[in-house]
Order: sequence, then structure tokens, then C-alpha cells
Amino acid sequence: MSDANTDTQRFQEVARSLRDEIGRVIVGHDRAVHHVLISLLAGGHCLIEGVPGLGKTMLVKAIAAALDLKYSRVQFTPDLMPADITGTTIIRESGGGRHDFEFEPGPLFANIVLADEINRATPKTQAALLEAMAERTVTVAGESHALQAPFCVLATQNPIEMAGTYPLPEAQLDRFLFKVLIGYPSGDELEEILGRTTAGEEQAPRQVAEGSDVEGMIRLAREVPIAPHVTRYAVALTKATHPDNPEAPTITTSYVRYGASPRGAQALVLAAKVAALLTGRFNVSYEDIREVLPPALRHRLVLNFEAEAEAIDADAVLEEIAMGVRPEGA
Amino acid sequence: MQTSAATGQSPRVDSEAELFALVRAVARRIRLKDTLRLAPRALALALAGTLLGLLAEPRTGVAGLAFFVALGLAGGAALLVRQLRRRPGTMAAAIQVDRGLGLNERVSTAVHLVRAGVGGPLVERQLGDARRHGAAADAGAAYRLAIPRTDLALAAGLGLLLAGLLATPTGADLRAAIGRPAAPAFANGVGARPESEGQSETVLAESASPAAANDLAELQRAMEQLWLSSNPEALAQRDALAELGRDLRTSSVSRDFGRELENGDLAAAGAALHELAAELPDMNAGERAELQRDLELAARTLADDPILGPQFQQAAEALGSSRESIATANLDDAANNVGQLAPVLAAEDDLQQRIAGLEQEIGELGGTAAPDSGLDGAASLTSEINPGAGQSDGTAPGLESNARGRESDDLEALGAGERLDAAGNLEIVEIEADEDGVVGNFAPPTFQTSGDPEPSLEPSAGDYGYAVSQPDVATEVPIDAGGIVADYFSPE
Repeated sequence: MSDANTDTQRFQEVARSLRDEIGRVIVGHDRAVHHVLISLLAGGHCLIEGVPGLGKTMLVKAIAAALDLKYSRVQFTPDLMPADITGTTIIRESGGGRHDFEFEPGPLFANIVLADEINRATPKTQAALLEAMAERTVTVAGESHALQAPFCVLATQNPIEMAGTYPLPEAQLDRFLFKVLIGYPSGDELEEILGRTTAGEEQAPRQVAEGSDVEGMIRLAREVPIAPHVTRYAVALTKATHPDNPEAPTITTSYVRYGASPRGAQALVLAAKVAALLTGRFNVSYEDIREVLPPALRHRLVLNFEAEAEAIDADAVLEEIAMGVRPEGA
Repeated sequence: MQTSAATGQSPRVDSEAELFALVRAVARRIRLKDTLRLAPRALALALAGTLLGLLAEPRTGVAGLAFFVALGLAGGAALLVRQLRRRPGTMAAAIQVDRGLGLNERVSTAVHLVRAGVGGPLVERQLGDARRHGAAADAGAAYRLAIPRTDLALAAGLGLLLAGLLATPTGADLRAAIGRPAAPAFANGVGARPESEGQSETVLAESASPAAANDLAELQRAMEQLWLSSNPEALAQRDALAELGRDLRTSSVSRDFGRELENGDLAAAGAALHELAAELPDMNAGERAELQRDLELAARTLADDPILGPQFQQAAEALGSSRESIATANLDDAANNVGQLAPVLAAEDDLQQRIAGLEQEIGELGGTAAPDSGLDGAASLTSEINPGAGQSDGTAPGLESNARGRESDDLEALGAGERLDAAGNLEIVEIEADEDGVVGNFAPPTFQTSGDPEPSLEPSAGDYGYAVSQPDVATEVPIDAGGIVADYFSPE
């Protein structure tokens, strides 16, 4: 991709094609698919949450299938060890009767890693993902191994089965750019799902982009300009989640124990840039910020006991914050 | 880089020029809208300032409608000038363009990129995108002007209030009521006693001075002071005495007394009555009968006079029952009272002349002020000051509201020579002798409570009003019969 015109056109073409190919497999969930794509094109990792059977794994597999990228799937279980995902050093016989230690890469060494049911693994194994997700390197036996770009972890988790699970710690959650919620399909969507999956052959997505395309799209998204007042709006929204902020709204001071980190503000702006490009715009708007606010910050808020007692979730807090924080000129 | 056929400049320069033209146009509209929004507020401020200034005029001593209007307008103009000097920033205007046209921050981002000199593969696309969306838009659509209805309503309301205050009789009454001095000197009250006439004269000289009355408001206050000091009851008394004089001219016994009364020489009339009292023992039966008829006539003619009427009536009855000494004593008392009326009426004449002079001045000034203020010359002002002018009850009803709210300080303003002797129930029986040694006898006071058009002899504690007895005695007191009153009204 040489010039900006070509780049942006290609960006929108690939995004549209990706959406179409995913749509061949996934019925409905347009908003969730849109957010997962934003996360992918922003170069971030995405945590997908939903009850079993809603197509979380299928969504990730569809994305991987539509992209000519190396894909691996790790089914997280309690007995999964860190080395099972990072890889390990093995002794390999070389010529002349010599034996050398050789690093055998684990499933993390892929472009798209599906961490299925991530909350079933022990914290030790979950923590093994931290370095990979944050620094895109894996250290085994004192030796760091860089992961291939693009690198994207798409993790799924089930919110209802708590027995035998290990909720992700805040530090781990903070590494995910987005947390996307997948809800139940509507009646029409369910009818279409049944029509597609219970008769004939299931359709499979076609490859529409290569790894280099994705890399180029990630680079391009970071160059989308953002005006200072829009940045200030993102900052104001992030600050509004901090309960110790004197200007925080009442819902924050009442129900939030810990607010969003600077990484949350970064996620807001970065994701908003992708959202702008996906809508054919070349600048970030207030609307883009509001659009990505829930998936970018919902997993970064730690709510208190009162919120739990009153069934107030992070989305309710963010919705009220979005209504209360007025952008400049409004 | 391509160049524009129209301008010969690069498309980016053209884009920037078009965008900034739009932003500048919107900036002008923002300023215009802010000014339009501020104008009614400035006007409201000017009106409010004028209103407050006029209401506070009697207390502050600063007079003149024009002055307050000028002050208010100056304040409003200062606000407007300050607003006009405030220019909205380019970025603020660009944000408004985005908001007004729903451009999703395209123009403001473009303005930021141009001003910051930011480059990059997407900058040109962004600028072109912003120009494409903003070029077709006009500033009117980007930033709509709106009529500030609330502010206009506020200004209109204040304007109506001011007009009502200036142009309607109710407004004038209200202004007079608010602006009337809280504690006028006790000596200026109705029926000021002779001792206070000097003080009254000083007040009159100050308030009625043409030099001091340099505008309508001051004339109005001066007129008010004069009415406070005037005693229309005395004029009615003189008319009644003149009428009595005309009736008595045909009497063979009281002819001299009647002639002096008709001529208005009350001192001589008093002397003639003294002579009549002295001649009483030498009168025959026929003369005594004629004198009795004359005294009964006098009692009827002066029935409204709480002092002279009863005295003549008692003298006639004493004469009819052959109680000569009582008749003589009553005639002497009446002669003294008639004689004492001479200086009171002289002072009242002087007062009426001053009032007439002021009315003339107000008439001239009022004629000038009438178009603006809505006042109808002297007549309006006179009625405003003393709505009861021309009535014969002599209590100056226009002063009723003045009595409301009097503080005990009014009583404390009384000098030692102004202490009134009274019964514990406020029934004034006599006062101390003045500098001339004159002692007046007084009938029970008539109490006029505030807001009650009918005189009441049974005021209740807490009522405020004023008591009217002799025309030469100031008896305006709060009717609370408390300790304060006791300090100034002690029974002898």
C-alpha cells in the first residue's frame, strides 16, 4: 500500500470483506463482530464473553479463516501448564551424536490465538499470557522469543459457570483492548441460524486478506488524526470513572472502587481511530469515542459491593458517564 | 502536488482557505449571537438600574430620571462593548461548525491539523474530507441565530414595570410610599404646636427653597414636606369663624365681635369677646337673651371645632341657667382660644402661599416632565403627595401611610418643651406652657388608624396612626400605649 488514498480504500475494502465473510458463518451479532474487528485492526486483544452456544468460538474461527494468518487454538483447562501454551525447550539429537537444546514454540506462536474458555486455566497459566499479550515476546528458559506480527489473542469465557474457574485478575483483564459481550440472537436470527446449520453443508469463510494487509491496516489506523478537544473528551470520560476524582459523577463515587487505567484511555483513542476509518472518516469524532467506550472500559472498572448488591454493572456506569460528560461545544 | 485551476494554489491551500472562511463566518455569527443574547440583558440591567435608582432616590438624595436612565444605559453599553471585544477562538468556531452541521469533528480536526502543521498520509485525506463536507455549507446553517426570548421577556417586564412606576397613579403612589423619608421630624406633623413653628419654618425654608428645588423630585419632596406641615383644619376653622362673624353683624350685643371675625382679625375678635365677657354682669335680660342666642349660633356654626364649639355651647347653657360666672369663664376661654388662632392662621397663610408657589413651579416642571414621566403637571403631583387635598377633615389623608411604620425614635425626637400632658389612656387634656406662656386646652384626641378611613376612638394596642386634637399640637404617635408612650405622655 503506497499512498493514503490506496491505503484507506484498501482498509475499507478489507474491513467490508471481512465483515461479509464473517457474516457467512455468524448470523447477527453485528455489533459484537464490529467490535472484534475494531480490536483486531487496532492491534489489540479481545475478550469475548457469552454463555455457551452463542458462537464465540465460531466467530474467532471465522475471523481466522478469513485472514491468511497463522491460527492456533488453546482450550484452557485447569491442568493446562504455561509451557503448554508458550512452548518449551527440548533435547534434540543433532548430527554426530550430539544433543542440543532446542526451543519448541507453543501455540502462542501464531498470529491469531484463540484462548478458549480462558477462565478455566489456573492463574499461573493465565499469567503466562501476560508477557505475550503486553510485550509480544515469550521468555522460556531465560531466552526471549519474539512473536510474529500481527499477534492477536481472542479469548472467550463463560460468565455463568463459576465452579472450577479462575476469574481473570485485573492486570490480565487490562491487557485486553476490548471486552465484547455476545448476547442471545433474536428470533429471526435464530431462525436463520437453524436454516444454515441444520441443512446442507455449512459455509466457510474465504480468505480476503493477508497478514501484511492486517499489519498495514493496524499502522494506518494509528495515523488517523484526532483533534485536541476530542482527546480531552476521551480523557474526561476516563477521569469520570475515577472515584477519587472530585468531578466524578455520583454513579462513579457510589459504585466504582477502581476506575480505568491510562491503558483504558489509550484503548479508547486507538479503537476510536479504527472506528472512524471503518465509517469512512479520517478523523476521530466524539461519536467514535462514545461508540467504543463500553467495550474499551467495561472490563477495567472494579465495582464495589453496593454495585453488586444493587445489580449495577459496568455498562450502566459507563452509560451514565457518557450521558453526563459533555464534550466541548455541546 | 496538483494546483487549483481557479487560484493557482495547491488544493490543500484552497481547502484551508475555504474551511477558514467558513469558520470565520461562524465566528462572526457566534459573536453576533452572543451580542444579541446579551443586548436584552444589558437593557434589563439598564432598566433595573434605573428602577432601583428611582426607588432609592429619596433615600440616596440622588435625583433625576435622566441621571438614572443615563447610568443604566451606561452600564448596559459597557456590557455590550465588553461582549463585542470578546472574539470567539477559531477552534471554538470550528467546533460549532461541526456541531451545527453534524460533521463529526471533521472541520475542527482540519483546523487543528492546519494550525499545528501536522503532516501524514491521512492528513491530506482528512483536509479534503473536511472541505468536501464544509464547502457546501453556509454559516447560517452551521450556526443558527436565535431570538433570546427569555432575556427579551425579562427586559420587557422590567420596561413595563418602570413605565408603570413612572406613568400610572398607582406607580406614583408606590414610588412615593417607598421613597418617603422613614422618620420625618415630629414637629412637621399635622397640627404642629406654636413652639415647633420655628423648626417647621426652618424645614420649610430648606425644603421650599427654589434654589434647592432644582428638579422635579426635589420639588416633590419639598411639596411633601409642606403638606406634612400644613394644617387645612385651621383654614376650615377660619372660614367657620368668618361665617359666624357675618351672622353676628346684625346682633346688637355681639356686633363688634362679629365684625372682627368677618374682617379676619382674630386677635381683635378675641379682645372683643373678652370685652363681651366683661360686660356680661351689666347686661339686662333682653341683652342676655340675645347673647345666649348669639352663643348658641356660635356653638352651631363651630360645631366641628372640638374646642370652641363646646366652649360656646357651655357658655350659652350657663347663661340660660343664670350661672353668670361659668358663662364668663367660658367666654374668656373662648376669647383666649380665638386670639391664639391668629398666629396659627398667619403661619398657615404663609404655608399656603409657599405651597401655591411650589405648585406653580411643579406645574412648570411637571409640564416638561409629563411626556416622559406620565405626570400630569402640578395637579398630578399635588394629588400624588396629598390625595386628600381639598377635603375638609383636616387630617391630610395622604399622610396616613406616613404614620405606618413609625419608630419610637419619632417620639424620642420630641424636645422637653414638646412633652404632652396626657392621661394614661392617651386622652390629651392639656400641654405645658410654651415660651409665651400660652397653655392650650384640648379635647380628647381623634385617632385615625392606618388604612381605616373612619376615625376611631378605640385604637387597639399595636395600631399605628396619629391623634388629632388642637391644630397647633403635633400629636402623631404610635397607639401602642406602652412604656414609650408613658415616657412622653404623663398625666398631671
